[in-house]
Order: sequence, then C-alpha cells, then structure tokens
Amino acid sequence: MALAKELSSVLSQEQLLRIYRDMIRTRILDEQMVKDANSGNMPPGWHSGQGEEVIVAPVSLLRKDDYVTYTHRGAYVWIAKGIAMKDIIAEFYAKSTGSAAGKGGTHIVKPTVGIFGRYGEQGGHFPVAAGMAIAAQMRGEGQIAMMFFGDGCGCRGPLHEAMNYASVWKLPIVWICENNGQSMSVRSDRAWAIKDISQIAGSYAMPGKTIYDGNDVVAVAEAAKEYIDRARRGEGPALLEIKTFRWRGHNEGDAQRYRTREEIAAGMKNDCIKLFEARLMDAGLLKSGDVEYFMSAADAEVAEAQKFAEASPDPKPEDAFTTIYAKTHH
Amino acid sequence: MPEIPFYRAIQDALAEEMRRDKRVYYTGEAVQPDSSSIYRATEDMWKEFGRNRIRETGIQEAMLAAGSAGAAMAGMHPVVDFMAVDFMSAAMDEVLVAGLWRSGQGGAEGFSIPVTYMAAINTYGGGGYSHARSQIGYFWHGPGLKMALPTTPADAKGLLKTAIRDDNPVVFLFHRRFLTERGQVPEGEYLVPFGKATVRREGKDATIVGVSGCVPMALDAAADLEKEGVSVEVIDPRTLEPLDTETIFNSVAKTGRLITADDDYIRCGVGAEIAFQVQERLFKQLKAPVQRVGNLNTPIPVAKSLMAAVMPTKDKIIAAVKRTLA
Repeated sequence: MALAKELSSVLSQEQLLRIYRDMIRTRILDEQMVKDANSGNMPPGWHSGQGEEVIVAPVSLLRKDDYVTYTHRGAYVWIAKGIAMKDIIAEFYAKSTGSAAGKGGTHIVKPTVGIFGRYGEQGGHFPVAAGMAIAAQMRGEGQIAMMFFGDGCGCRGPLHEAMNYASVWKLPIVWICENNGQSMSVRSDRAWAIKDISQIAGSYAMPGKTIYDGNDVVAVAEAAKEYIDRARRGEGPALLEIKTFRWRGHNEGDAQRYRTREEIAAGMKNDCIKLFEARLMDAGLLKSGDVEYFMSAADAEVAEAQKFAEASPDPKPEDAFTTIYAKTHH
Repeated sequence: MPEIPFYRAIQDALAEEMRRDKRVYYTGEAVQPDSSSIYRATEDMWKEFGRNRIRETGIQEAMLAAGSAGAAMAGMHPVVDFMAVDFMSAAMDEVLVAGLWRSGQGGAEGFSIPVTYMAAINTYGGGGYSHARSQIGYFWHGPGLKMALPTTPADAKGLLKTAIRDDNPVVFLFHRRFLTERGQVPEGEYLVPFGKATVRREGKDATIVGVSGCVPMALDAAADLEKEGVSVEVIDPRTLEPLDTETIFNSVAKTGRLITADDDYIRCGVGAEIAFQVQERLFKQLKAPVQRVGNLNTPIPVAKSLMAAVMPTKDKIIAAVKRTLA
C-alpha cells in the first residue's frame, strides 16, 4: 500500500482515492435528495451537506467496528461508513425497506458498521457517543468512537458532561466539530463566546486543533488520523475542529434570510471536491477520465437505489407497534 | 429463608448479575463503597469487580442517562443509580428518549438498549419539591420504558435481576422508606417476572391498587377497616409497564369498588390511568365511582404538617374506601 508521498506522509493512495470516491458519491446523492425534497415527496426533508464533504475523510479512516454518532447533516458519515445508498434513499422515502424501516427519517442506522441512529434533539448525542466509547473501552478490542457535532449543538450542556467524563476515564473517542459558522440561522459569533471551538479542549484536559481551511481534505484526514491512532493506543480523547461552509440552507425550504447571495457565492467558490481532485491529478493518482468514471458510477448507484426505494412498500399500520421492545434472550 | 433488608437485596442482585454477565456494570455518583448511599457497592463487590465495573461519576445526569443508553446500544448492560428520582428528571429527555430510540431507529432484530435506571422516590423526607418527588406518571406516560416498583426485599431482588437481564430500558423505582425494612428473600437465583401483580391481601368489599410507598399504607388501612367489618383486597402491581391488568380486573369484578393509591401527583397520574382502564372494562360492575389517593397538585412541602395535608396517608385511603361504600 504505497504512500502517496507527494500528498501525504501518512495516508496511502488507496485511502486517498477511497475518500475521493466517497465524496463524489455523497455529493451526487445529496444533489438528488435536494431535488426530491423540493418536489415534496420526501417526508423527513433533506439537510444538505454540499460543500462539507470533507467529513468523509475522518470517517473513512475508521475500522468497520468503530462507532460513529452524527447529526442531521449526516450523509457523508453514512456513505463513508459503508451504508448502502438504497438503505438511505428508501428511509428518506419512508419505506419499510429503509434503514430504519421507514420510522427514522434522518435517523439512519446500521449496527454492523457501528451506527446506531441519532439523537433527534441536537446535542443529545455527546453522552451517547461517550457511552459507546465506554463499551469500546470495557470490551478492550481496540474499538474507538467518533462523534460529529456542529457549532450549533455544541452550545448544549450535555457536551460538558460527556467531554468531562470521557477525559476522566480516558475513553477512546475522537470529538469532531464541523463548524460551518451557522446554527441554522444563528451565526456562531452570536452564539459562542469564543472564536475557535477547539479552545474548549483544554478545559477537558485533552488535545485540540482547528483546521481553518476545511476544504483541505488531506490536512483534515491527517489530523483525524493522528487523533484516531492516539485514541486507539488508549491515550484518551481529542477534539478536532474543522471550519467548513454550508452551500445550501439548513434544510430544503430554508429561505436563508440570514445571509446574502454574495456570501453564499463566495463560499461556494472553494469546492473541497474540486480542490482535492486537482491535487490528486497533480500527484498522478487521478487521470482525466477517472473523474467521469467515478461520477457516472455514482449516478448509476443513486438511480438504482431510487428505483429500489420507489418500488418498495410503505410501512404497514401494525408496524407502528412491533418494534418498541426487543425480545429478551436469557 | 433468610431475612435481609431491602438495600441488601439490591446489592445481592447487582453482585449476582455482575458475576453472571461481564457486560453488566454499575454506575452513578454514589456507587463506590466509600459513598454516602445506603445501597452502594459493598467492599466485597469492589474487590471483585473494581473500578472498571463500578463506575463512579460526578453530578452528570445527562451522561448517566444517555451515556448508559449509548453503552447499552453498543452491547453493555449498565445499571444506573440516580439516587433520587428528582435527579433522574434532570435528564428527563434522555430517559424518555431511551424509550423512544429503538423503534425510532427501526427496531430491527438484534438492536436493543438494555439499560436499567434506578432511583428512590420521596427520597428525602422533608426534602421538599426537588428532593422528594415521585414522578412515576412521567415515565409511565411515554412509550418504550418498562417500569418496576418493588415494595419488598424479595421483589427488589427478583425485579432488579429481571430488569438487568431485560434487553430494554427499565425504570426501577422504590420508596426510600423501604430501604432498611427487612423481609424474607429466597436464596440463589430468584427472578420476579414483569407483568405479574401480587394480591397482598384478599378481600371482597373493595379493591385497593397500591403502588410503591402506598402498598404498606393500603395494608394498614385494610387492617383498620377489617375491624369495622369492611373486607379490602390490596393489589401490588409490582410493574406498571407491563401492567397485570388481568389480576386488577378480576379483583374489581369481584369487589365492584376500586381505590388507587400512589405517591405521584394525582393529575394525569398513576391512579388516573388505572382508573380509566378499569372503568373502560368493568363500568357495569362498578358499584361506585373510582377513588384515587395521591399527592395533591402542589409542590411537595417540607414541614410535617404540610406534608400530611398534601401527601397520601392511611387515613385518606380509609376515607376513600368509605366513599365507595357510602
């Protein structure tokens, strides 16, 4: 597995290309889901992550049995962790074949890859993630947990409880803040007393770092790898902040009264996928023709998943009652 | 059969389950042997299981509630001690969401959240509105949470063992008055299934369904009423979810009179729910309207005189029974 020496001293060609491929798949899925949400046939709506596909990078460096908790803007997590397109699309179409049997919407779930859904009320997942890290620590098989939060939910109290506990117990967890500067409509300079969220790391006796150019996929991947390896060695938690830019509204239907068209256009000029693509081409890892290949493969994958979802049945009314309790096996 | 205090029955259940299943661990503020809690882990448990499985925390209820749910999703069986139900309610959303989570995430076979949330109710007599609540109805109201409320040491042991083995979130509440009371507890493996009420006293004129702290009160009321020639049946549901409606319905079908008695606020409370289910099934057999005894709709006071005015008492239960006979 040759290192891509011109790009990174710690990441392999295979890892970099996998990140690139999954960023493309995430973007194409997102573009289709935006269309569906705006045509009104998607009950949970869609929280677009266009512009923030860099989040694929840290997830793709995880083991299959590592745990990840995510927010409503989660498509990059689901794709990079290996959840099938059809499970995602069928769930958003609220079909019984969806990953959460049509009951979860944005609560995509796949336990076999360490994804157990999400906490609907923003910021409730800080302790849930720490709890998964407790299980990883107790089991002692080298698993870690990764937790994604935005500048939005980072204002909530459970952050303090979870980060403090995780540091006391040196839990194997990597906290990653995706700071796009917007808590829905609230700008982070109106919601936070500090400028860089990584500053709170010291309060929890853990290392912290901010990647100011969140479009630099290699820099983000390398920083994440350092903290992942550290957690896996049993050295405890760390906090990585990535400054990103959200291209679309908080969700489809958001009138975006809180920012100007000029501001949005300026932010969209830096496309993390295009920037990464250019570097991969310069390093000889991507050739012209490869880009079309990846994009048309993703198009086909999304189209096939949509056909599957459209043909799938709606949940039956009696299904509302069958999944509340697990069967006890003792 | 040995006679042991309620708190000892809890400790025994914990130690046995932790020994039986490595995934079980005990967590909370007061779990270590040097804590102030009466049902803290014993020195022997600490020697056997250590810090890894007796996980003391600071005051962090959201972490206790949702962190334990996360650990449970990832395969562990945490037992969480909140000490007082008032403190558990600092993480009310987290506890309620633990009940909603499985189904909201599709509830596939294999997905489970085997967590037990423990707390005392009416925890600090004289502790007032934030240290003496019961809040039973709040947890019973939402889907997905099982609820066990033992009133004897034997039931404490048997229900806690069942709760720990159950692959679902269980809210396990007990009145603080019970903790030092002694009772016979079978030795060895002793499990009490959920959904099986006990008839604590047989009678034919009226049925009292008592919950938690009101069960002994109802038994005292029944003893007094017997002297006046009134024969009262006392039922202890032991679990509210699942609820053994069959035993309750059979009793009220026999007596025709129902009185509910529990420590929670009466509005939207435990008694209200039981009363509705009974009248829905047995309206024609009822000889009188259902009566409920509980905490009046006011924050729990501190002074003994005020508490007597506001909270359930034996005399209020007796008066309620007599109203059904009038």
